Amino acid sequence: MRKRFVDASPTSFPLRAAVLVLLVPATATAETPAWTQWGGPTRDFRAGAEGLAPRWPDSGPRQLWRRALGPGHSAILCEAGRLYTMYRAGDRETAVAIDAQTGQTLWEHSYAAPAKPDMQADFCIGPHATPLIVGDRLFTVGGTVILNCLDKHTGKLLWTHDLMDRLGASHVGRGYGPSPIAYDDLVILNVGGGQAGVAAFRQDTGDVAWLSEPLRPGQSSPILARIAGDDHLIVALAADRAGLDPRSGAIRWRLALDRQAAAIMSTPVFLPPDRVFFSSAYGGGSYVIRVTKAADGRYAAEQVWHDKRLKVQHGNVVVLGELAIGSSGDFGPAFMMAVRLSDGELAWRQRGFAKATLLCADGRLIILDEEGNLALATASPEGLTVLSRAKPLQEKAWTAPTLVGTRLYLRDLRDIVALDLSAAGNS
Amino acid sequence: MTQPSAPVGTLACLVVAIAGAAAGVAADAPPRAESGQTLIVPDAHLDAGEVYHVMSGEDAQLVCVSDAPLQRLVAVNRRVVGYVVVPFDRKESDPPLVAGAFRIPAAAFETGVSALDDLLRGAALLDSASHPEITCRLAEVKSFERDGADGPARWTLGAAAWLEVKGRSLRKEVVASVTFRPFTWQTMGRYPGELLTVRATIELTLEELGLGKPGPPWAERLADRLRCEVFLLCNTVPQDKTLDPASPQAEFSRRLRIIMLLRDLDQPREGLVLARRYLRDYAESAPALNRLATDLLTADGLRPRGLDVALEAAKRAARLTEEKDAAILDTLAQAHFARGSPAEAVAWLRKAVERAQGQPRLFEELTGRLKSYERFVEPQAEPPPGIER
Repeated sequence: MRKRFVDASPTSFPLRAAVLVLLVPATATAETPAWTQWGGPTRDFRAGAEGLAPRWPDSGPRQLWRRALGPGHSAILCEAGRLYTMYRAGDRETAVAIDAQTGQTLWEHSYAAPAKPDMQADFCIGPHATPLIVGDRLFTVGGTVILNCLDKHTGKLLWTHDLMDRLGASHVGRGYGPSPIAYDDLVILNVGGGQAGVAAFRQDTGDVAWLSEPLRPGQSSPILARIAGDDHLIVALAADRAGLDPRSGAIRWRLALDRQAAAIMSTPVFLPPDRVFFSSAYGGGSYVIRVTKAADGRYAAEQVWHDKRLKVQHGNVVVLGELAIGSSGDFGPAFMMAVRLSDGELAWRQRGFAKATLLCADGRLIILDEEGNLALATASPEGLTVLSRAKPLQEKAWTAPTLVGTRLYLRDLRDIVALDLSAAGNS
Repeated sequence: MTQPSAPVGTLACLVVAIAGAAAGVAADAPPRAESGQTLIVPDAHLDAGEVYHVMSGEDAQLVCVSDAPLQRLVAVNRRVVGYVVVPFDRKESDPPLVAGAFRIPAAAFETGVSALDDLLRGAALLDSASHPEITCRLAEVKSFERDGADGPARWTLGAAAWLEVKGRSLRKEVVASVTFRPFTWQTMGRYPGELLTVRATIELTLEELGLGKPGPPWAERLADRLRCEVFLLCNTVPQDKTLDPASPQAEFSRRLRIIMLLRDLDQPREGLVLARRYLRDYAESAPALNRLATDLLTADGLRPRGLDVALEAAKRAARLTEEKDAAILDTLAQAHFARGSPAEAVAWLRKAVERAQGQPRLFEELTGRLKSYERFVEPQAEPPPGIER
């Protein structure tokens, strides 16, 4: 488990370091801030940032740099002063490493990924999936399900699989979107085809470690959870919600929801010790299920509640106390909405944002809507209080923000931007 | 603002207040948004519930019948815009609608006979030049009853609405049927979003509308009473929301406004001025120029079609892309064809077909169009100078 983030900015580092010396157990090692996978350190869009400005100037938070990037919705990873993401140019996809301080390109790895004849290209065919950093490697998956393992320092290709060719993986119509996840020495991802629902590969060689039984494709990213003493890889593929043994791919439990819930794209949220939250748009709504282990060791899952009001399309959900908070809506208007995790009852809904993604940091929410509007807010069971607003992006912004320390990284279909959210930078 | 869940039943008491909240004058409907395809929904209505926007363009939304002794006229309007508001988290005891407002372009009534359309729009009747829109606003829901327990949720409403025609307001009692069609993969085939339909039949007299008959020949050709059938398909996804992330909302809204002025409101001068301004503002964006040209060439019912602007936009888009983009060359060919230059159209389309190699669907579409254009070209026709065959 990662520890709380440390603000490593020069101005605040000495003080924070001193505090950490006092607070961190002697056996722990201080980790530098990083965002190495979809959803951040714990894959739940919670950042350990501290020292965020309580409000922003009217002109918005201080911009550190801005540069052109290109089409794509892959989120931005950050580690050791480098950013990693992906974009598309014509028929080629590119993984790029960028200097987090300056925005300068450090390396690019580009490869041919023409649209498949049966793809619906009207929403940008990707890349949608967010890369994954493990050790010295960067794993990327493009819109046409080409899985690459790169040397994160140089961009050198270490191994590659065209998963449509090799495993009959699905591009899910509008381009593959689920982000891969690491487990031990494996990289695991949905493939959703006739040969397998989920596949695991050895990180070092790219060899197939296991293939699950076939499951229909889906756009939701998998998560890992520990339930009743076992690790579960939780996937949402079409109408199936399933927990797999991440070592073998064996399905531990499986629950089929109704057809309207089949187009799930948002990432599940684990609610320890044994519940999982799912949300989908298109009439699906939100579900909480409970996973139980019988005396014979077998697992089962049951629906705890279902409510159609919170319907998250391709955004995400954060859990704050007893609330699940997300942007509810698909093609039409979107409301920021909170439901109670205990029973699905609506706590509040608030207009004023287009469809949005969000993250939770330092007790606050950072909300980015698809029109490029950024907000700092607090949430409680009574409602959402917007503290500050800005508009740092102009094009369609479907990518969830990345917060590392007090630096926020955003992108839309054209640009990538670094903003300083610190109190010192926005006084 | 935050919208807490309302106690059951209280919404029914608020309908009149909410319905009137947006309007100072009886029949006032909120103004159109930038695109012209939706209305600017007041905060009071946004806070009251889910907004369903009227979808215009295909449905016969208003079918007005004049059944006179010597002539039967049917005028159809497909360009009604507006919205209705359904309470959040509606209970069975809540009214299905708590607010609604509509704008009806007077120039968009069509009988299928040009002379009659002109008569309808003219000063003697609707006078669309001076009064481009008829407005309507839900004033009150007096009663509501669920129809049947099975199938889609359908309600019969007894309501009152304010109607304003040529500056004159009247209040009409209406019985309407509201049917909810929540999103399913079947409804997605029509529109993405949560849908509902409003159906009603309204009897109106020329007198209460403040309309006189145009002149003596019309005494026996235009009835004193009109029957107007209403069908409004409403959607939580507004018509002016671009679903294509590559097509910026502001650009999309501007194109919709141009189309609305040329088609719905019969204001060609204003529409063409906006189109020229668009050409200037997006002079360096080939996709934006191509989208404008395509809209002008293909949108139904434009008066005029703005072919000069379409050609200029397509030419510039082709130049910006160095004549390499098959779809843009296709648009250019269509612009030439629409302006009566089939030979030039064929020449550009052949070039487009060459560029579409490797794009099977586009290639098939373009070769089909090329065949249809070639029928209009003299066998010996030479391509214009500078264009390769």
